[in-house]
Amino acid sequence: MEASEREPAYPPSTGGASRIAALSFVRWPLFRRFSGLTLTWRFALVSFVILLTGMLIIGWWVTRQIEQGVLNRTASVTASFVSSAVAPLLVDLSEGDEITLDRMNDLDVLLTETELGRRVVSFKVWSPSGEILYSPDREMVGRTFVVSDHLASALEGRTVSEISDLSEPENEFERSRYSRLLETYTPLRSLGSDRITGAVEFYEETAILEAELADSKFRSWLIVGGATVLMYMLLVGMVGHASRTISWQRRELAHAEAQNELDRMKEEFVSGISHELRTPLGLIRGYSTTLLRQNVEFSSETGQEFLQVIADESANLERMIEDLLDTSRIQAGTLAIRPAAVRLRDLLDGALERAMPALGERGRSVTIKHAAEDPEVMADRGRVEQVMYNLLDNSARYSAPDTPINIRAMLRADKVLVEVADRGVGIPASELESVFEPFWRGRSAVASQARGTGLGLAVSRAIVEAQGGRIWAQSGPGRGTRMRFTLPLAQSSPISDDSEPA
Amino acid sequence: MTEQHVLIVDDEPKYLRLINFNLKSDGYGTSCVATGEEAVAVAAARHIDLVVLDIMLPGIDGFEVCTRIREFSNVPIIMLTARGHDEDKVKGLRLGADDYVTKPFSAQELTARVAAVLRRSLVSDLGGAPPIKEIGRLKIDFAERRVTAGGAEVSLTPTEYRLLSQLALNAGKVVVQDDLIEQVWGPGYDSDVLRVTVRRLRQKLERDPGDPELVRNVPGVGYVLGGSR
Repeated sequence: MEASEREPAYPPSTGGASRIAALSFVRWPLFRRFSGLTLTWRFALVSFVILLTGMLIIGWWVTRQIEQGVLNRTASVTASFVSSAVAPLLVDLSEGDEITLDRMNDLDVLLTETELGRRVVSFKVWSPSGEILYSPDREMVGRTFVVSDHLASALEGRTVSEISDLSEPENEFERSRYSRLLETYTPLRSLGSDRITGAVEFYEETAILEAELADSKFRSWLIVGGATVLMYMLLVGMVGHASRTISWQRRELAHAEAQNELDRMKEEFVSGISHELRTPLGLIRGYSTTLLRQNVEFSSETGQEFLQVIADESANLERMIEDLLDTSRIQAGTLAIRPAAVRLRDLLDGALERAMPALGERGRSVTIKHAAEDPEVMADRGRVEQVMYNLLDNSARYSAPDTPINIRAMLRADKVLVEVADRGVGIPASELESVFEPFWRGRSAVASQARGTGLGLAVSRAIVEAQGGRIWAQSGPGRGTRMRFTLPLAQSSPISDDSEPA
Repeated sequence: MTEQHVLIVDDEPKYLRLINFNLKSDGYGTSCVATGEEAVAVAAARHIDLVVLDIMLPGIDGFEVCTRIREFSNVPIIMLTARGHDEDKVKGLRLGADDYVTKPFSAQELTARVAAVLRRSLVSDLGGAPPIKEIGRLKIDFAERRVTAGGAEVSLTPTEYRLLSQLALNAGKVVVQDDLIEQVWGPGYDSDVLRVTVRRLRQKLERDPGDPELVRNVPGVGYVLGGSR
């Protein structure tokens, strides 16, 4: 089943859908599912993805900022502390110098016995060339390492810090005692001047810091997440509401339009009917009032003629009204068909006789060729006569009076085929189906001036189909018309020449 | 009086027969045609005193026939319209028809209408009025049934002429609308016929039909021919 069938009627988005299609051409089945969803669901899905992505990006950025901020704060406090403690001891250090052993011992004392020691677990002093000038681990002193980015930044005057997993070679000492430490690099300046003579790298424990960070991160994620969820719910809610309103309005509009269309059709129907009915009515009125005129001589032929017109037009009127009623019965589903077993020959003969008024003038030539097998059919006699009347009336109206009309009946397997053929103006191939529509009058000039409600064939079709048959037309412009319909055989009818009632 | 000849136009043969029989019974000569083209041809070919014209015709419709006939003749025209289609009635009148009969009609209605229209076009019951009347740029010669406006002769249909005559007899005085209708058409007509015919008259007589000097409307009352502003 087409996914789009599940959608309430709304215009397909072209641009968006095709873009999505282009992106998802690999995942075709998924795309089909997607385009089958309603506007609200699509929006919910898309905005969920967008907001989730946004939330992750913002959350990540925010936490990074927080992390950076906390680190910087911590580091800069400690940095200035370190500088103020360490720098005096190294004040006369020039580039290229080494730190004396005494000095190193003094620096050790800083770590163990002063305030500094509480904050910092270790520190190193670097020379601008990457040589370790001091470390609590004397074995590191004098070794040179590649100047890391952070060290380089410090040598340029910036204080930088990060939480390190101590995986670098220079962290041998620290690694033996800790798994993670906050590393901070800060420039060492000779006291009084701004000349950078090296850098101090110091290490702080991270536990509390990390706890604080985790707490901040958690809180910021909570806020970002919460805001996102709120926004999402709000948006989806709004869109859902808007979508429901649109659907409702659309339904109302469709309903109103359907109602208008219905009213318009009724209007057309009524005015069309009135027009058709007026002709026989007008003739009846005209001829009857004429006959009532006082000072006029009527020969008996004229009297007969006028009375005949009144009789014929009354019959016409009655037929039109019956057609109209049948049409509304068809629509209401109450068209009464009561089939019974009847000999086809009798049925057709009776139908032809009943149709005489339609064929009557100037003795039209009508031939009838019965089915050799003389079958019995299951049909509502009166209704089939009505169908035959309609077909014969049409043939008479749409063909020249001097051309014959031929009726044929043929046996076909489990049913009977009846054909009414004329040599009249014919029906264009494009209209062969349309002629069975109610009020169809055809496009040709002949058709539009012919009298009648245009309901005959529609009613005939309803009758034939209610009996389990089919009715159709074969024709071409100027080539005459062959109207054919089928009737079911009466069950008990043996297919032989001497048929007996069941 | 010589026999008056009526042209009957209807595409339904039974109607042609009906109308023909009735008119013949009243002593009129008749010609019957079933198409608009034939109708115009006959009207152009011979003298016709009245046309009874069905609106619904195949080919060129009744309105077209009316327009074409009016190009060369002022012969009275009665339209056959369908009941409930007032717009057809007005349209026909606008195009120059003189009167209408709605289908379904009785023989009596038809014959009465035919007689009335023919009478209108013949009788000048002006009794004692001066033969020539001049109102502004309008000059009416009642004896000759000739009307000129601004020196140029104007061709009027019988109905238009009759309406103008009624107004002219009371020149300068307002004629009440209902009286006007009754005089020219008869009882039982609504104001549509009057309105449309006044419009046609103005088209033919006035210098500026949109701002009439001759046939002037007096709102709520009726019309007046000439008079001061």
